Amino acid sequence: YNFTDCDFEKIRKKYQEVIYHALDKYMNGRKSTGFNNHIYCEDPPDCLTKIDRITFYPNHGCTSLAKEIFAVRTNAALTLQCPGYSGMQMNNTQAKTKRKKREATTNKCREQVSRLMELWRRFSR
Amino acid sequence: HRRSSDATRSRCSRYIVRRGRTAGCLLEASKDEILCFSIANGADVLLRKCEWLSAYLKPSSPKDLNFWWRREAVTVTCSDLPYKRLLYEIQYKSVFDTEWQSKEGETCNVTMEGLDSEKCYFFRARVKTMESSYGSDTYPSDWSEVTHQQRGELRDSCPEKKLFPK
Repeated sequence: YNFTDCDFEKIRKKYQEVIYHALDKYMNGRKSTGFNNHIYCEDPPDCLTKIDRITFYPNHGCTSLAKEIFAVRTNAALTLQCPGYSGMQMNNTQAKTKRKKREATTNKCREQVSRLMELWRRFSR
Repeated sequence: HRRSSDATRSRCSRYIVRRGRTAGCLLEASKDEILCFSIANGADVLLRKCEWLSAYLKPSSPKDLNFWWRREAVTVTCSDLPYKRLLYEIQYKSVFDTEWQSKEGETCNVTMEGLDSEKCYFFRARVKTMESSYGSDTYPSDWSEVTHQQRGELRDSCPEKKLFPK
């Protein structure tokens, strides 16, 4: 999906209002600069492309962040503000699993979320 | 350190020293780009990292503060810096106050109310970054020069508070 036509200002507002706090809560106060593998993004479309990939697709030993609160809010913001973005399709079984169990926060996932925070910060500057 | 727009590697020319220890390096920057740097203790490299310069932003101090008085309020303005997601902090106190009071705004247009324009006030300003957009590795700007204001006019200074003997 090409994120060029998204409403970046509205997504940024949603990030400041709700997504940032959910990411911060997930990291539980741990400084996201404690990890060493850095990721850059150049401009808003590039940042959203990388945010989408890390948030909704398994990465580097972290099988799924898609059920986390920040991911659900990210999905809502992108679906609303990016024309034609289909987003994360939550089928019923996934929805039931979401309510029953949420994957324990592994260090691998925290590493991915710290990269997400860097991307979101860059996107919002 | 090396910047993405410049192939040459340079050594820090302005270290920040705190309690006798090197605590940082001050680099002049006119635009945002990727900075790759390493921190070493002699020949022992402790950290190697690349990051956007703006992740370590220390904004420049606000300049040319303007004051717009009306009845018991004053609006302080100055020119906004080119970066977004900054917080402009204005501090003020009268000669009768011991502590500064603070007010912040997302632009350099901050109104403070409940002031008595007859009194002489001290004002100063600085710029901070929003953590949600810059993270926690930035620095606030230095404070601007202190400005004195009384009856809606600029003063060179505020007279010392006279204590009347009992």
